[in-house]
Amino acid sequence: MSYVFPKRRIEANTVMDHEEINQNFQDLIGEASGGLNEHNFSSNAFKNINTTPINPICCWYNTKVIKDPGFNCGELAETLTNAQSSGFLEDSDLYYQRSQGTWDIIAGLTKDISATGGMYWILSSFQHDGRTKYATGQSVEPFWNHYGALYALRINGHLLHETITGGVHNNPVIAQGTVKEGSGTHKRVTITNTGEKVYDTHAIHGDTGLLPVSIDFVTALPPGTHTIDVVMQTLPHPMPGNISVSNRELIVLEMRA
Amino acid sequence: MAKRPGSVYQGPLFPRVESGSFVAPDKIAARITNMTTTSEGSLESVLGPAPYLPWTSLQGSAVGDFSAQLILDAGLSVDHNYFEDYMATHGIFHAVIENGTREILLLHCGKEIWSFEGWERGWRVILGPGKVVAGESTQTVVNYKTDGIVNDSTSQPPTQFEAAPNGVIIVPQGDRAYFYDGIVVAPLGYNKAPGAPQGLGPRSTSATPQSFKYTKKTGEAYFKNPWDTTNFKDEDKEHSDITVPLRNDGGYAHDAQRGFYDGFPDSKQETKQYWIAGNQLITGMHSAFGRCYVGTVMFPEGMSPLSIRTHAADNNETVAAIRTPGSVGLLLDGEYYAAVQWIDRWGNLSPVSQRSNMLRFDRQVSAGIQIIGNTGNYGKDTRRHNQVPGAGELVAKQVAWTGISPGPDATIGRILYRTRDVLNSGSNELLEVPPNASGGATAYATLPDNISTFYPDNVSDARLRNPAPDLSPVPKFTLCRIALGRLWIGGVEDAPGMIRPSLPGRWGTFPAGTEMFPDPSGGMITGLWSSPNGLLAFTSNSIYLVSSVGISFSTRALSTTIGCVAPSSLAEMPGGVLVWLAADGFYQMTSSEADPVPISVAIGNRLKNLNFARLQQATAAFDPMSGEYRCWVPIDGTSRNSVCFVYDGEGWRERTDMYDVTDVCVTRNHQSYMLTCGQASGTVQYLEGNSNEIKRTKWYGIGNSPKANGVWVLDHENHTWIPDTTYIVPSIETSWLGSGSSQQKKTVIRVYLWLRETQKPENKVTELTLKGGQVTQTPDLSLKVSVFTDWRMSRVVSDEVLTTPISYAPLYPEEDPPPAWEQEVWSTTTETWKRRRPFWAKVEVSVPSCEVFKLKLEPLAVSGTAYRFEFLGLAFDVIPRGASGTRMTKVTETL
Repeated sequence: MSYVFPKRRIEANTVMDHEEINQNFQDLIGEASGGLNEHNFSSNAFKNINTTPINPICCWYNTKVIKDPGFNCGELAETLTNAQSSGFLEDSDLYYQRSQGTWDIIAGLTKDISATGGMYWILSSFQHDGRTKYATGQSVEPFWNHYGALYALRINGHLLHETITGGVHNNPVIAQGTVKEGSGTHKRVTITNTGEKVYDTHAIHGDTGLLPVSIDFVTALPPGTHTIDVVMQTLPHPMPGNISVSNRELIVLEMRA
Repeated sequence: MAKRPGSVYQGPLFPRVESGSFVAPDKIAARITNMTTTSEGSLESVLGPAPYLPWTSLQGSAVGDFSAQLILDAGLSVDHNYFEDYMATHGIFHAVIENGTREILLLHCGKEIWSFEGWERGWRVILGPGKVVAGESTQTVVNYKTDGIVNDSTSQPPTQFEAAPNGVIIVPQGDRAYFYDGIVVAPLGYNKAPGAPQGLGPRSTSATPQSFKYTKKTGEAYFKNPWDTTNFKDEDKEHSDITVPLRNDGGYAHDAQRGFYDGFPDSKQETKQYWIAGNQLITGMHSAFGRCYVGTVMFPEGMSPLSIRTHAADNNETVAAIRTPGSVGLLLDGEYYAAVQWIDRWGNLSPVSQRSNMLRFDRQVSAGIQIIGNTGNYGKDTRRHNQVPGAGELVAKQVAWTGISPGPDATIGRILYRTRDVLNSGSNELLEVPPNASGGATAYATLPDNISTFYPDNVSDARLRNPAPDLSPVPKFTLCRIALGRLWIGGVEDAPGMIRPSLPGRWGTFPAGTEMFPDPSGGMITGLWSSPNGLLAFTSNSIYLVSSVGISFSTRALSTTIGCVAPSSLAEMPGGVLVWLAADGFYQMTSSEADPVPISVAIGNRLKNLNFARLQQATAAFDPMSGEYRCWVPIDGTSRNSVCFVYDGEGWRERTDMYDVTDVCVTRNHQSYMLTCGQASGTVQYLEGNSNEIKRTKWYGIGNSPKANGVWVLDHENHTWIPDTTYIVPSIETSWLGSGSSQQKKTVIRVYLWLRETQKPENKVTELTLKGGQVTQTPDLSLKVSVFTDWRMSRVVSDEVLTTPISYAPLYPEEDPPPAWEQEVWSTTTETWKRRRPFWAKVEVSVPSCEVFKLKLEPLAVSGTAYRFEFLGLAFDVIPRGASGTRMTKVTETL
């Protein structure tokens, strides 16, 4: 409720009149009839957000996994990939996927909600880590790889194609890859935006390290129970590397305003 | 008291408006101050004002501690929540934007713009010195950091505001304009253009000839590799040379020539990732980038398409297929330029920058690559490459633009413009470069960010379509109004007679060449208003209508004698009646007749006292609750807007309930409060909620410091503010009654007042009176009736000022007293709520023989209470004395 100003101040010796009492209530009635906005809400109105659907202001659900990827994720990935034969490997914190040509749920980013009907804002943010290595034991020298991954939201098993990540990004690095010149060894090369080739055999690839990813979607959901997932797909490749997801969170916010 | 013999009852009269005329009808008052009409048809004393940010609760409990701050819930912080935080105010505005979902109340206070945060909060500084941008604090809106906007209380219009569907345009007088969308505030549009970008392109680094071999025998043509002669066979030497300089090989040199070859019949996986690296391949790019598209390529006669060329193999060498489609191409000499434009979060565009440096392509023959040899099977890699004439599209280039300057705050993208090949297209027009990957309806800029400074440009000339708009920077201006779907600005610095429209919906983007000067004599624009017929542009002595004609605009003079002197005095009343203040008074005009009509002739004598030097600061608004147009003006020698003239469609009244009103607005929500900013005098007090006990009070008096700056709700009152009763006296001063028969003397013996019950003091007025209607003491809460006679507000006899006869009337019927607050003891069954009723009060005045007389009615209040007084009409008994003519000037006859 906003500041409401009664029209008349009640003072001693003033003749009483019920019309004036009614006038003083007119502004209150106006508030109750609508016109609610940020000028009307009490400053502490949004303290009452929780996951109880009958809460009058807002209702939200969330799930999250906290895992600090550190700066040596690739080393960890190498160890883990020794233990994996195919597909992906889960552990309690990190989630890996390796050349998985199908959509699979990122561990921990799935949530069942009890919707009362209305608009819902689904948002997820997580850290994508492309700093994985070739599995050891290959005939070639292990080196950093950067195969791609796609992420998307899924509701009740139905993929929301609009949420599939992808797009351009602006980076001074135009291209990266490995070259073999003549009969020499493999060299990793970075092509900068000035056309310069920078050879480097040890650098972390700028666009394949830790990347923050955020995807969201606003949709109407009918009353009932719904399952919200964040899913991931990696590129099938004969020499696959692992893509891992570390810190991650899924939030579903019911918008009742 | 019985009626006297010979007396005549005259009336009743129902004065509702005022006039300064001598011969005004008796139903017109001479002055009605601080009275407003009610829905029942009576005149009632005005209520309030009340501070918009009330003193609700206080931190600390020390009595007399007036520096205490309001307690805020939930730990939310605001910048200003205390009554005394206000500084000098310059403008106030309320808007509801975003389809009614966002309510905004803005105040120009001191050097800052404040935004009201809502219930139990206070004011947030959104524009001012020392503020931070979002992310640096927990603030809920993005503040725009500036050295502070103008804080000038000299004679100038109030800060102008204009509501757009997506925000509010803020125009501090003498400062640049800003835009606030409820979240972000930033300067409106751009007042400058970006710097020109720097182009990166190829250059020819060497005069080393590029030998062109042409074989007559096979019709095949290929280049000699200037660095590698191993592949030249004897038969090649038979052919003639065409020598050209090595071209376009240095600088930012990228094309598809001699580049990546991905056709090795090789089983090794890694070869698919390999470039054909080597010093020779300096311009070719990875095949993933595809071809380049910049440059004009032609296909000369005689350079026929290449077929797959086979070559006599050396030992252990095979010849790979050369897949070279198309014709041999020749890149023509070419020139390119580019420019940059900023775009902000609201779609406003900056002027286009100056052009970049020239990018020049030298004429160049396309070159392909031929791979000879094989990688062997676990054996020697014998691959070599050779250059041959290439397909035409391989020689086209890619360029890049650097130094693309990021824009100021609120910029969200840059639009890159580029010419087509100036030498070959015949045009040097700048055309928009579409974003490479995300072109289409949703693309708003070539670079959809405000960070990057580099843009690789591989957009063909054919994809350049939209020409660069010719835009002007946003100037400093003082007036603005949205009309015809555009924002019109006036009072432009250095061009005060100019108005200029923005692009539709882009309130801060002004196309060049659309300037208009409505007044041919160059009169300064003093007001802008949107009417159903278009835009009304006022000068101080003329009015013009700007209307649309197709995609252009025309002006038509509506008046060349009547203008507007105060832009904020413009306000619209129901029925499309526009009211404003001109140099000689108030005028109104309807959209259908478009003819200014004077409406303040009756108070013309009063308006002579206006302070013309400061008239442009007058401010007005229409109050939908009372149906009144209210305009505050500087008058009677003051430099402040001290008096409000109220027009109800029939006549005028005055208000002095505010000491100074610097600006006024009406909330556009369900409340329809009329809010003013400025100064009032009175007593602020804090009542403890439970006990209703007055804990603290402080008086803000006129002439004392500090006065109470702030934002005020008119026509409402509450216990946090008790207006100073000295300056808010409601009164009705009748005209000179009896002026129609002023040649006849008359004696006024009694006045009948038709009042409505308002206040009931402890003591009856009649108990305080003595005979003859005179009283021994001033009765509280009564109506003071003063009588003036014969055109004078005081009478002097023998150098002595006579006391003005004063009588008192009760404000309730003493024979039938109504219930009053804190007097009634409410029991269970007998008492009922009643409406206050009208009643007649008789006042014995006993004014002796006079030509004309005047009554002045003023209620009396006790300290700490408001004036309350409700009036319906009056009548009086007079005894005519006949036409004696004793005081008439005698005219001497002459022969």
